[in-house]
Amino acid sequence: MIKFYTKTALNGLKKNLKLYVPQIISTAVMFAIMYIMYSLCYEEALKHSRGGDYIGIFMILGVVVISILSLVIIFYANNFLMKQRKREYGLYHVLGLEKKHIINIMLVENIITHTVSILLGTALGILFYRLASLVIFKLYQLEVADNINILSVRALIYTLVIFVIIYALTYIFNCVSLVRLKTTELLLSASYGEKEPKIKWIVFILGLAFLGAGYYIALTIEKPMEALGFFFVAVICVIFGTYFLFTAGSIFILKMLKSKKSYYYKPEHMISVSGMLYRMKQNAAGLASIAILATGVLIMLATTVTLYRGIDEDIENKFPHDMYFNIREWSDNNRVAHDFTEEEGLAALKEACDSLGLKVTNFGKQESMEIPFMLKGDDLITSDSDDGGISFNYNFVSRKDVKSITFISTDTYAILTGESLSLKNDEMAFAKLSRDNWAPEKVNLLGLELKNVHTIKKNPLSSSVAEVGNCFLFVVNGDVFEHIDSELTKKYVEELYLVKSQFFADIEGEEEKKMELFQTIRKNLNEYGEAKGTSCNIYNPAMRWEQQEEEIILNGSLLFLGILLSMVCFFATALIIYYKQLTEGYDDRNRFQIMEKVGLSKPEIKKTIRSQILTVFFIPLAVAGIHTLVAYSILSKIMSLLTTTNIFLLCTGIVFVIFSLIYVAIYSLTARTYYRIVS
Amino acid sequence: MKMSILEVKKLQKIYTTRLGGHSVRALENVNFSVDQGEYVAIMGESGSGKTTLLNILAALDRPTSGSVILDGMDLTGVKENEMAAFRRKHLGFVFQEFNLLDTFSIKDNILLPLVLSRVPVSELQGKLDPIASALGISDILAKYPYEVSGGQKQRAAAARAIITGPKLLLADEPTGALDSKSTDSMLETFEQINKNGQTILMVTHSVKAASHAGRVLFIKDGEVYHQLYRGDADNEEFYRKITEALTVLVKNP
Repeated sequence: MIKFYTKTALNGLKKNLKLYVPQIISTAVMFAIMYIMYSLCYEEALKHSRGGDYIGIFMILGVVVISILSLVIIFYANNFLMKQRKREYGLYHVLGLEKKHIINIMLVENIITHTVSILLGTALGILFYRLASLVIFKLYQLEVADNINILSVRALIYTLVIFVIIYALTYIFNCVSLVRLKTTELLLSASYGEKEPKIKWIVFILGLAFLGAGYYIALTIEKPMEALGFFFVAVICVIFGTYFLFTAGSIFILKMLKSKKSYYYKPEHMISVSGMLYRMKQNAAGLASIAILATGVLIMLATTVTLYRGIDEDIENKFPHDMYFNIREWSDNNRVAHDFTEEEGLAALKEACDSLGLKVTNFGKQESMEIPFMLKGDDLITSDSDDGGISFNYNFVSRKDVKSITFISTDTYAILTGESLSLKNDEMAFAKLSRDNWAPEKVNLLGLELKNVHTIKKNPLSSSVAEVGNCFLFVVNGDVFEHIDSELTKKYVEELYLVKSQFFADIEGEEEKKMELFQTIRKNLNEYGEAKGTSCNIYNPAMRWEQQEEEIILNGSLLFLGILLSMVCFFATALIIYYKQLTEGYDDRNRFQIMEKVGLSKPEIKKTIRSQILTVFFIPLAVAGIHTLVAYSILSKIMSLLTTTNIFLLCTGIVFVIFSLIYVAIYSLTARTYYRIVS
Repeated sequence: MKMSILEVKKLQKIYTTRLGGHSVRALENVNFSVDQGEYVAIMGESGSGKTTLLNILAALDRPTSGSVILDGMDLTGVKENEMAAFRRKHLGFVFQEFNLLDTFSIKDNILLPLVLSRVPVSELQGKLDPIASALGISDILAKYPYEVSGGQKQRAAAARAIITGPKLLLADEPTGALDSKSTDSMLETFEQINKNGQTILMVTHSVKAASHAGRVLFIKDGEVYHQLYRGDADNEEFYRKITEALTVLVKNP
């Protein structure tokens, strides 16, 4: 019996090679990628270098996402195959095989194809693992280790377990649907005489609503933190909107075109409009999936490429100097105490540098104060209660009448920008730090009257300071700064009064020595702090190279994950397109044979086929382009939290162009299958 | 004197296998002509060359030698890229399996050849209405092929075939897929179309279908073997004559 099953199964597979080969390849690719991700988690060569902690976390995250994607894609392919082969199974049934025999044949078939794809996947995984780890080393800007793993048994077993579970699920699903089917249904040819689709108004309106809501969120949200929170809401809305509009909206448009007689009754329109109507009914979900997968790939690659390529620029913006540390200040009994003076700080730093053969080339101090005010007319008041203490509950991120103002002195401004501003005692310079459009001519605060005499275009503070909320910068002269400082000190007891007093320094010398210096400084500050009864954290020492390394590892991991996930989405897209072309081809073959008899010439037929296929396959790409454009709006705000670089638009553009080219390549490869079937 | 609309002279078609080893003579030497307004049926057994003949007449295939002249135009001289337009303009087709497009409503199926010939939208309805009512399908125009019966489908196909006012209507086993009731009404439809002046050439197996024609040509081994004119005979009498002729045809190898 087993021999019979195997023979029948092999026969069935051989006849349907065209259907199974793409499925086997794409599953193998997913298997390989998951194996690579798992293996990287356990890569000894990476474990002890920098980034060793990150890669594991990111790869596990990737494995979770890929498992879900694989489940969806394998199920899609499986359902497609089942649909195609139902007739064949039905024939077996009519010829006298019981359903349990068919289930056994199916089991053998599945075991064969799955074994092939797992073997192929393992081979691909091992083959490309080395390449993947080289990419990781390159992204992390590390020297390539020579002890990279060749085969990780643990990773292989984990990957196998996940795939076997997915395969088992699809098999059970197939058995259930086979048992529930009637023989006549098994035999029924795929789709003869389907009703012309009706406009599903509810779905159409829901689709418009969802897409509108998603787009509205994406286009109108101003504040980065809110954008972060609402991004996933917008994504979900757009996904639903896309599915609904592809199913209902497309039919709506086509019906409109059809009802316009002067448009419809033209040779080039009549055939394609009715053909499209027919197509959309069967393909809406598939096309929506392509559009969403493509958007996912575009967004993933655009953001991760931007983050990675923008590291240098971002670091240059955020950390113009080699090292920073805060001077501890606190408000205690209405008094600000400085832990150490500028001279003390410089002396300590110099001492540490001397012992390592380094030189301090630049040293300075920058001071800023950040405090929320309530805006009433031209008055900025620190309180809305009578006792002078602050009492409004500061949810000032969302309150329009609360302005968070950062003060710096002209001295600090000169240090930050290299430009000198001279301001009188009743003057200030003004800069927007966030998207609020408030631009006062004059303000009254803390007994002062300040005129806005100069608007600063470029934010002089490193933008990590405040992109959130209604944040503004006031530059005032030294006397006014002192005045505000002492007034605020009188009023505030709580931490609302954020004073940031920071030393910065540039160091010259060998890179390795600099790292050593940083460790020394950190240790010294720690000891100093402990002696005073606090920890090192309060000084918050930061060094540029450390920040840079952190970004390289973090953004490099994100980029790597982005590339792998994009590859999976990409293969899924290709698979869907291929299967679509195949089914379309068989569906259309009949139709075009009839048209030829009715009097359509071969070139005319070819032209209509082309235009229909082009429309059907390029609508998803166009939709993905529009989605990405809209997503750009919200993503650029989220990106402002992560990086200060402004290459996001450029990266998005480049990624879109490259993606489109590859899409066209997949399309024309698969279109060949279609033409071969039709003609 | 009646004008002949179709003249077939010394038609020969030889199929050779790809390697040239074998050759099959599908049509040996076919000669006949069809007059304007005539209703001709062609009968013959499977393999007699009927289908080949029809394909050549339909300009779907080309003869090895000989000529087909439709209303003064030599079919064999029409260029490949003008074939489709020629078919659309001068010929109408009715097939055994209807060949209606499942993506079109009955109305759009009938209008398709007109639309392909770029007839202005304003004229479409005017051409459709009389034909639809003559064929009794006015009330199913909005439906789709799968929603109507086989007889209705075939009448829709006939409507599509004659809407362009073709010089010749070619029918390939038009009743082959119909039940007897639909067959009767279909044959009546054909007679009616013919009475309105439409020349019809029908290829059929069915004696009943042939007995509605004005003349029957019998094809055997790639040649016109015999022909029968209806004369004054009614359908039943003609039916008997055709049967007799067929019997003779089978007896003489």
